[in-house]
Amino acid sequence: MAEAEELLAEGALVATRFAHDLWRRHRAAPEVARLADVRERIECFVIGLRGACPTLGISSPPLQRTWLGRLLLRIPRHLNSATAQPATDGQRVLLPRELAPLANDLNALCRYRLYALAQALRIERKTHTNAPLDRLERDLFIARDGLATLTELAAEVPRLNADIAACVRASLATRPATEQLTPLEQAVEARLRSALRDALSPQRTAASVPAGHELLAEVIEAAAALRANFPGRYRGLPSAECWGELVEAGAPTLLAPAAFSREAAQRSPPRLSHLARRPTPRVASADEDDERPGMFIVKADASQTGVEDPLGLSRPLDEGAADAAELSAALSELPEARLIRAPGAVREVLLSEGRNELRAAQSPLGAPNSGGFSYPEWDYRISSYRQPGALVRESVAEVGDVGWAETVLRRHARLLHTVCESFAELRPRRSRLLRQPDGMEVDIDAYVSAFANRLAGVSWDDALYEDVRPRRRDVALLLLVDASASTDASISGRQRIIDIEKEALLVVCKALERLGDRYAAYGFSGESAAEVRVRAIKRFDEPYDIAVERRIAGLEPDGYTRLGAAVRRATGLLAREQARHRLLLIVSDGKPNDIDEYEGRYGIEDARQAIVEARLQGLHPFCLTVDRQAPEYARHIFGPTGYTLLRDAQLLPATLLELLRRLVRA
Amino acid sequence: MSAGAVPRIHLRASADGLSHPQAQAPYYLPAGDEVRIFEACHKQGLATLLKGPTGCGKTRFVEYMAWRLGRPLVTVACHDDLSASDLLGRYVVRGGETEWRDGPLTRAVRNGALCYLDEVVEARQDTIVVIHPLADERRLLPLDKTGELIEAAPGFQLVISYNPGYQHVLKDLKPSTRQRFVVIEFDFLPAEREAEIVAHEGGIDRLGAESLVKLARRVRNLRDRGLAEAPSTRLLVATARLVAAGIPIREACRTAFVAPLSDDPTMLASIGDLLDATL
Repeated sequence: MAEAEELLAEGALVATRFAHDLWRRHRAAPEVARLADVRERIECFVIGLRGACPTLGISSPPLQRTWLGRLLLRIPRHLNSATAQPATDGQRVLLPRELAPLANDLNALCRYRLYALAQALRIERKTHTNAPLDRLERDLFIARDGLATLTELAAEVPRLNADIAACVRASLATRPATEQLTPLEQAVEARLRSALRDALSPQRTAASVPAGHELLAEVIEAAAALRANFPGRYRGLPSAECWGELVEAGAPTLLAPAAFSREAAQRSPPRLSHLARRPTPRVASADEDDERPGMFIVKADASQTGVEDPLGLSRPLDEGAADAAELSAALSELPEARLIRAPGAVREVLLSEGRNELRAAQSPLGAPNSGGFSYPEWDYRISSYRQPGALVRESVAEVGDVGWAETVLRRHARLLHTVCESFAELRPRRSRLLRQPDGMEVDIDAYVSAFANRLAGVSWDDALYEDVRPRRRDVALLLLVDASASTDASISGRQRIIDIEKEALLVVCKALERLGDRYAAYGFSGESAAEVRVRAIKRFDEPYDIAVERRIAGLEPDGYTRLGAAVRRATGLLAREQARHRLLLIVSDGKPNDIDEYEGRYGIEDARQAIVEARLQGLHPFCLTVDRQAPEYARHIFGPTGYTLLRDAQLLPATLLELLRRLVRA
Repeated sequence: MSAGAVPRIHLRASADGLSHPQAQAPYYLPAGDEVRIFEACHKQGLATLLKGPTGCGKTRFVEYMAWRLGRPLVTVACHDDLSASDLLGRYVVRGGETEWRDGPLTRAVRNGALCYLDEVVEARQDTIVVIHPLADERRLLPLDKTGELIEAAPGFQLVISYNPGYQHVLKDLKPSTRQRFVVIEFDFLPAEREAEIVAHEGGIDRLGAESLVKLARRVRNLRDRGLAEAPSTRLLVATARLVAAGIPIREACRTAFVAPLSDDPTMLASIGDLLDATL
């Protein structure tokens, strides 16, 4: 029996939600740009102008405090801003998830470009390391250094002058009102505004740009003078958007979805929602958890609500009642949260953009295999192989859902069609072979040449015929697919890298099947040198059938990327093939890593050595990577022409195809 | 428009299949000591491999060296159907009589000319083998058909070019071929020099040339980001010529510079962004 109060509360909730939705629908301007959509262009822009681009990340909006929270923590109103600012942590460029155009005709893309460039410049200027810790000094420093940054930027790219001016004007317009500030804050605010106005003045380009550490002394002196002359506390002032914030490079933070349980994924797909802001993971204090569960208190006076849950212990979330959006909103409000790992299916996945720095849960080791293949590993420190190196266990990949392949093929029917069409072009065509000893027709050129040779009295070739025969293209191809836990990261909202890899693999296998060349597909992952898992999806002498489809379907991310050992195993398999051209195609999502020292330079050098070994055996290794940071190490491992960076994982099938065409065209 | 905009012919083609150097020097701006090294190679009869991206001045360099050394030049653009007899020569029938006709390589060997095989990787492997005896200290060209063994005339030098940028696993130079050559590496010139070339060859003012070079250098940074081939000096000269012919500079850049580089819409947009930020 619903009480009147509950009805009222429910009604109010519905009304607010409705109003909220309505507001959002009408507010959403079409020109709003999302970082995910323009990231590529921004990166190219920064690389073009500065030669390299730091990693782009999402800057979180500041934690929203309630009125009561602000009161308790004594946070002044002007610091309780809701918008994310461009920022840097000294290594990454952090940009807001989405940006709207500024009122004075600076479109969102231009804003992104400008912010990214300014933050990249701040990283180069070492603003983050130079900044003093005292709040007042820091704010003054950020403004002074920001002015220098913008000046440098304008001098380097004069065409951006108008954009910079528009952006500075907008920052000037959004400065907090001075009435509620203490005298000291007012004085600082005046300084900040004057820095912004300086950024607008046309003479600034003429001034020489001071380096960060040169500003430091000046700023400390100014801060002392301000403190001496103006009374009041200094609680901080918001930074100007045109030069952005400085944030601390925190510990790896990400709420990674625990490994997807296969049964659960089949039962009901997890609900997805975006997480606006990631809480910082909190380390549990020593006495936080009780070793054993304590007593329950059952309130006897409360009416029993249900038979399944007599004690009323289930939260609405456990019952799946709350929707994921609500959960993500609730989680975003927490300053920090403890990370726990629980068995069982995942029901809500909250997507948080940025690098997946947290490893997904370790999965239990597979069924013990009979032995394995041991490969030495290259140790760059001693310039020699290390024995014992890594142990590769090869097994047949586990089978997955029967219906998966069919669903994917139906969904990608058009893509499959296009891919097969283009592969058909590669099919060994009937070609005209000249100068054959026997054939259907006379080769006129050969005949004339031989005739002339005969008249001249020199030896002549009796290969005077031409023949039309299907040409045999002698190619064997091994696809080595990265199935480590990092492929669990979602890339385009709904799909994980592994999903895209799987779909691409399926489409390409289908197409290769029509081509008639010998090919094989293997997935690899593993954990530690003793447990590198190479899983056969399709062996060379195995026909493509439903079992192969199911093995592709069953490919799930786990473990790490011990690339060297996997490449050595694949090299061994491919080297047995008789074909003239043997291609080893590695589809990867990141650099080699493992739980041990393989993470760093050791892994890169070992992978490089493995690739060199493959080359020495007459194979052609080639890597297709979706990692944006790949150029830093892929060039070292695979050589400048041995890899391609895939800018959009969705393009994987098409790119694989294009690559095969290029490699196979003889 | 200055006189530089008119394309000049540096070499005169003639009936003997060789191009002989003219009085006027081809325009060439050295990047380092490649001229000195090439001259040393010439003196010592060493074969030379020019390695570098497309359009960075390899062909112009060979023309310039031919002029400087006063040798005739034979250029062969290699393609994948190029057979050994296309290089060496063949018997032809003429009115019931047969006649041996020298191929370009044989002609160069007999006349002591520079023989330039452009994009040699494109040629078939069995064709490339033909140049082996010429490229080492023997300097001999055996002609099986005529039974001749021609010793290279003094002044003959074999020059091949090679662009390592193409990702084509099935086509690469064999180590046995590579090791017969002295390698001179080419890359794009420093901005100052490149602007000088663009201004001179394209016939535009120095300021315009500088901004074109600035744009090119910015776009070259994208080489790792899926741009198959970096924009070359040749491309810049073509753009500059359009500008010299009266096309507005941004328009000229869009058609002659941005569009040839890629078909990928995102990449084109990114290059367009850089164009906006530069010009």
